[in-house]
Amino acid sequence: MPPQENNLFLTDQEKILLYKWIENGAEYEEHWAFIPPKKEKIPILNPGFIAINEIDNFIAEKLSEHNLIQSPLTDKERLLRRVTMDITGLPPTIKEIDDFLADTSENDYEKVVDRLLLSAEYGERMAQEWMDVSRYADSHGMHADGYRLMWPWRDWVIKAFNENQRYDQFVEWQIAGDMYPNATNDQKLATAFNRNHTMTAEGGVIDEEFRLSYVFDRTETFSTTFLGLTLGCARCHDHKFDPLSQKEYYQMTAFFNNVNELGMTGDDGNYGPMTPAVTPEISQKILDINKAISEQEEKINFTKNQILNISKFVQEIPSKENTKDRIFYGEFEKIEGKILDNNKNLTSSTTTEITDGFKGNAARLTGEYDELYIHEVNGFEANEPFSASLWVNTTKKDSTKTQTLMCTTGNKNSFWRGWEFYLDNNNRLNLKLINSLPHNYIQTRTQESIEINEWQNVSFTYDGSSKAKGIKLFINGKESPTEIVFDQLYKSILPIRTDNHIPVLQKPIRIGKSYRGFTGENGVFLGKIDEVKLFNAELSQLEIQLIAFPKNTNFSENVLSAFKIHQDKQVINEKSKLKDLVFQKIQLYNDISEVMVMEEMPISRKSYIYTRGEYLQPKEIVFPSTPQVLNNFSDDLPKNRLGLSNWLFDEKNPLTARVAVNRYWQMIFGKGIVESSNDFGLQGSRPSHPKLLDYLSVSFMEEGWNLKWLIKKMVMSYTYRQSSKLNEKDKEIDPSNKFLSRSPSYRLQAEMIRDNSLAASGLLVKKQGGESVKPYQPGDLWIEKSSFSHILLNYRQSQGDSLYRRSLYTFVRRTSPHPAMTIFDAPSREVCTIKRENTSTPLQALVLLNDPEFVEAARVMASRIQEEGGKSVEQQIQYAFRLTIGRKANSEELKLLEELYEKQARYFTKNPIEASKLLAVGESKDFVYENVSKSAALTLVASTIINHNEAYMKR
Amino acid sequence: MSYCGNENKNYNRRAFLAKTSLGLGAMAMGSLINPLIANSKSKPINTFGGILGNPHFAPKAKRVIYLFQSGGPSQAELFDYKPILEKLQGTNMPESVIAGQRLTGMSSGQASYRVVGSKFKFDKHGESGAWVSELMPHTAKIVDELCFIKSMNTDAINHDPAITFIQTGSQFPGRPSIGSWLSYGLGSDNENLPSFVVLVTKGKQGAQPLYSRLWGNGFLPSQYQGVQFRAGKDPVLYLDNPPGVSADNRREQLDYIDKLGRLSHDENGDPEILSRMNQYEMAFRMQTSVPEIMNISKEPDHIYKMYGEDSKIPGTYAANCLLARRLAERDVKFIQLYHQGWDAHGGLPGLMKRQCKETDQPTAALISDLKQRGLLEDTLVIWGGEFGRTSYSQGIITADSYGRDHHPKCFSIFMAGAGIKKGFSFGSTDEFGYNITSNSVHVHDFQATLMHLLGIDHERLNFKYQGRRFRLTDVHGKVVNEILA
Repeated sequence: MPPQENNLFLTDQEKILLYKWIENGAEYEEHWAFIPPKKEKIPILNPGFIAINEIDNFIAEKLSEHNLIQSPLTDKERLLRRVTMDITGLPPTIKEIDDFLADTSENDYEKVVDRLLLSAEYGERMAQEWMDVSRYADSHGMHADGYRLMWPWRDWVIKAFNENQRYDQFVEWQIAGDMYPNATNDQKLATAFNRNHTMTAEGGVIDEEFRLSYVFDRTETFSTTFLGLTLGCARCHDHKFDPLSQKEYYQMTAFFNNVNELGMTGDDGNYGPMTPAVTPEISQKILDINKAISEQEEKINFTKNQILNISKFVQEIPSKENTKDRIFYGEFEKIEGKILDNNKNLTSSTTTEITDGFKGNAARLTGEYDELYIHEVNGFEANEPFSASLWVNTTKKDSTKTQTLMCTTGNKNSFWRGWEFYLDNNNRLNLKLINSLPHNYIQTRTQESIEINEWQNVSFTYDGSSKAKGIKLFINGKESPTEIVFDQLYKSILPIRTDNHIPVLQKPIRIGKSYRGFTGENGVFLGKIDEVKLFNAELSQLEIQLIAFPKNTNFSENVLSAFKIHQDKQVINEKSKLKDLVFQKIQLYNDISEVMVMEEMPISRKSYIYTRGEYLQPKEIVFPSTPQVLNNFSDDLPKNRLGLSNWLFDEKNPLTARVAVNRYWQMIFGKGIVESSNDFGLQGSRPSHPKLLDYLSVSFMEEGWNLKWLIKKMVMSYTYRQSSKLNEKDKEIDPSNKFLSRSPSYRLQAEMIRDNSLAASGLLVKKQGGESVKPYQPGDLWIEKSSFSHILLNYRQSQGDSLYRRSLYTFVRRTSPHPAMTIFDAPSREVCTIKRENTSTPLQALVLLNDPEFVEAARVMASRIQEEGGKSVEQQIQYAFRLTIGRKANSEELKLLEELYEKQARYFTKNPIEASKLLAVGESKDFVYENVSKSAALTLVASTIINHNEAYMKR
Repeated sequence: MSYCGNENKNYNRRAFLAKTSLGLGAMAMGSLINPLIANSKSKPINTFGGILGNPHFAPKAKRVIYLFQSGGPSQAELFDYKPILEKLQGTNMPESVIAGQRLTGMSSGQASYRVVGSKFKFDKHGESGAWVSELMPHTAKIVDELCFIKSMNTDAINHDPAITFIQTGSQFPGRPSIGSWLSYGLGSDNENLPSFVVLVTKGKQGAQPLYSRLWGNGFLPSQYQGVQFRAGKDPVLYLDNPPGVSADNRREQLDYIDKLGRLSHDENGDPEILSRMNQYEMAFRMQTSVPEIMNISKEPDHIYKMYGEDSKIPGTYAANCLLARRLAERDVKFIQLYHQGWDAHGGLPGLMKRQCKETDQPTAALISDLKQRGLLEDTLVIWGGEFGRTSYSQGIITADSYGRDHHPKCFSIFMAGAGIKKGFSFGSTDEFGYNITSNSVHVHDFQATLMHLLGIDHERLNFKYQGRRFRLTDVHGKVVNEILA
């Protein structure tokens, strides 16, 4: 019951309906959509109706109930255009029209449908629809709205449709492909569906607040897309109308909550978890290099063991610390201005206090503006061994904060790339080598903590293996037992600039504070620092001991044998080979694009009910489960996304098939059988043809969720093939065409309108897949709103073929989507859209008349029709009409267009310069116009045809 | 109608046409021009074309000019005078004042939160005695026209969610903007111009971003989205004829598009064809009406002087203020300006000087200009941003500089004109300007009040989408009656 404040009242009609229901016994039945569909009996056809397939029987039944009749079949030309547009999103070619007109065989139409379903363009058309549903975009959507690379997933979608992958599998992969045993690249890639949501990189946001919002988005997109449920209503409270509780909402979120992801990302680029988007050849290369690396590692181990077995003596024990590999030494004896020790490569951000140190003096760091820098040290790559050592005496131990000792790691806008040696919130030693958080780094930490208010030597060594076990940590010269926190590094760790992602050769090493910023956790070190040393080699433990206790000569046997291995020529040689291999691996991976995908964390994150959906207010813990009103989530199913995808396609699920069938019905007929295609709940519309919906849904499942079967079934029906003409009777009884006594007619989608004119002009470039492209776009629409993303700072228009690709490939920037698309109701892709609006505005007229896209198409068409259309102007105009509208113009239409031509030709003959200007619109230069004024006049005629409603309406 | 909006939404376009005698023009209702008004220059008595038909009650305001100051202008340097900040400068903020407040990651890591006072002097102005700092000398002169709200507050602590919240009622993308709700509800009063026009100051690169969604239609049909008018050629995207095509060519072409359309209508009987023909005519009219309004060259010198030198440079805030007046004169319902750059995390004094120099004079001029034309009576002018700034300094306080972080718990805005008290100040904050001490005005309250002034009950203008009736104010919002005249 809606609360009183909602001001909802029953209409008189509704009251009467209720009275009637009570009079008739007030029988209560569960909401239709929650009862699994049954295969309904095909109704018997009343006389006077035609049925080509079962759809027509169901449609005819309703028509007779409402005293309506079917319309006659439409003509062949219109039918061909209609079905070609619906199945491929493109118009038929003249040859296809002629062939179809000439084909008098009984199955002429079916042949066409089969041809279209096999065409490569079918997959693109289906993908176009899926892009709205899956809120696909090429930018992040919030704040900086920077670049993201997800198009390999879009290409996988096209491929899946073209291969006619079963719908259940198509969806299951997208929900849980990563969780399949030995998941293939495609299965992992498919899960990008759940990472298409918007993300923020705004500095200072609270990570958990946004991370949770992504989980909510996944949950709600899942519910809307696959179940037609408005589960989002239950985020703050139990659903007001549908039997969905707040608890159930959060149980659903638990499926999507176990991703190791960030709430605050960087302005540009992808963030983990990711999967490489690779060709089989590259895949093989990856396998090869990884194999070579492990072989080399084994070889080194083998050599090491051999050495240990041969002899126990070290030929020469050094008596002094290693200075050969030392590339920096800071003593902190004095400060002048901001320069310490008279060394321009050791500076302070302020005037750091110099105080008593471990040896001589030391630097005392007292706060957040007090960091030190080491300059002119080349950055280390992940395959390069390096070590560092320093003396620290810290006053701080804060369970919520870390303390940076030395680092080059960047901030969110450089993926935090670099290395960081720090004390964590428990004052344990940590070393992190980062390519990108949260997925591409290694981290090792000590189990023990260092003391506060006491001088201690802390050191690390790293062997260049890009593995976490290659890190050793030392406290007071003693190797400290460690644990590996994260162990996945396969790309470069060289720091990059935040504003253009170009590597920085010598990023100053910061001491005493991180470069992170934006998070409130800045790694501020408090206390004293002394004797900082940096080595471009992996030091042995013996060498580290010599740093901590220079006078020590008494080494344990282990330390001695380790040193022996360390010194061994063969080991050094083999390690150098390994270094090369690791470098090769890094190079290989650096060039590979990765797509954001789902990946389950080994230990599930706890999921909660949040009061009013607010991240600060977790209440009770919940576990993954599905709404009770639907089919039971079987105990046999794993309580994760894999289980969820199985549950979704359980034949007892009352919604999955219906929702899918309805969405594709909407795609073909313009409107769903359930008109509220995004809401099958109690507030949604009732199906216009419930029996038909159920019949098709059950059949769809029986046919193995075969989408091509489903589409074919729809377009083969008589209902689809009817004329779309509106007669007086229909206008009165069924103005909205709910009962389909005629074929639906409506404005085509934004993409189809543009693609139609590209195809008609011959400009269309049919290349499939690849990076998104940037066709003409007026103004400085990007930079005038935002200058945070460096990759998307200015709209850089594509060149050449990329200007003429299908609109499916047009770059989608969410906070500033392509205006011509938006004007024709294309959504911004910020959220999942199941159903587009279909409006009519003056701006649409302006686009079709003035957008260079359409003007160029018109003038290129003017060239094409003179070349291909025949000799006479009449023939040429007729050709343009057929190219754009898919049928021959009738004599009246032709007469009008010829009249227009004559008038325009007169004008352009008098104004040849104007004619030339018009013929210069757009980038395409391949067209020579012999007769400039004629061509200009024909351009306006072509433009008029593009603006004719039959060009942009489905008829 | 028992409730507004939803029925009409489900109302099919053709059904609507079939059942109303209004005919075709109804199609174009929305932000894009209301064709129902006859071709006369006289102002209509009633507003047509919105889903509400008539407003819920008599509106005080016929139109709104919303001067959005993006980035979070600092109330402490402008209107919310707190002398204690200067006195205690450099000391730590009392724990009792900042306790419990969530901070952004920009300053939450600070070891100390040091009080910082305004570097700019405050004075009392006008008969109302409103405190305004020296940064806003022109605004100071018109304080007796203004109603300050010093107790604004919001839920978000970062720009994107905060600006999305105040402009669409939700912190996350997907909802219609204020202007598109108004277009949806009220339609248009002008036959040649959109009812929702957006003007953005040019050249503010580096500032916090804007997003199309701020003037977007969300789940409402796209005719309700704001139309951006831009400085320079093509003031509305795609407005200009292609090179080589004259107005006469175009007229002729349109005539033939129309003739073909009529043939097609005779054959198909689809009323949508005729509605589309109407859109072409409106597009044609816009080709004249928009450049005409954008051409400010005929404004007299004293007007330029009033708005400041910048007003001659297209795309400046000053020029946009002048345009706003011209749009208001032509009854554009919702005129939304954006001026970016108020995000003073550091270097606040310099930044504030720059921002105020760009905006102070034009804002004051706009209000005075509207007044002298008698337009202020039924035009609501709003000045404000998405949140305020902290009373403590972000970063180090130096001799001539400091910064302030985002502060959602209080900020100052002002309103003027239709239905609003003059020379009035509402709401107060504690002595540090950190917490509200009286008369809190939440963003949803502000939105409810805005709608109220336009004759809309914010609880009754809603739209059913995905099973829920959405409205601008979500499930919140109270009209702030105390500020109503």
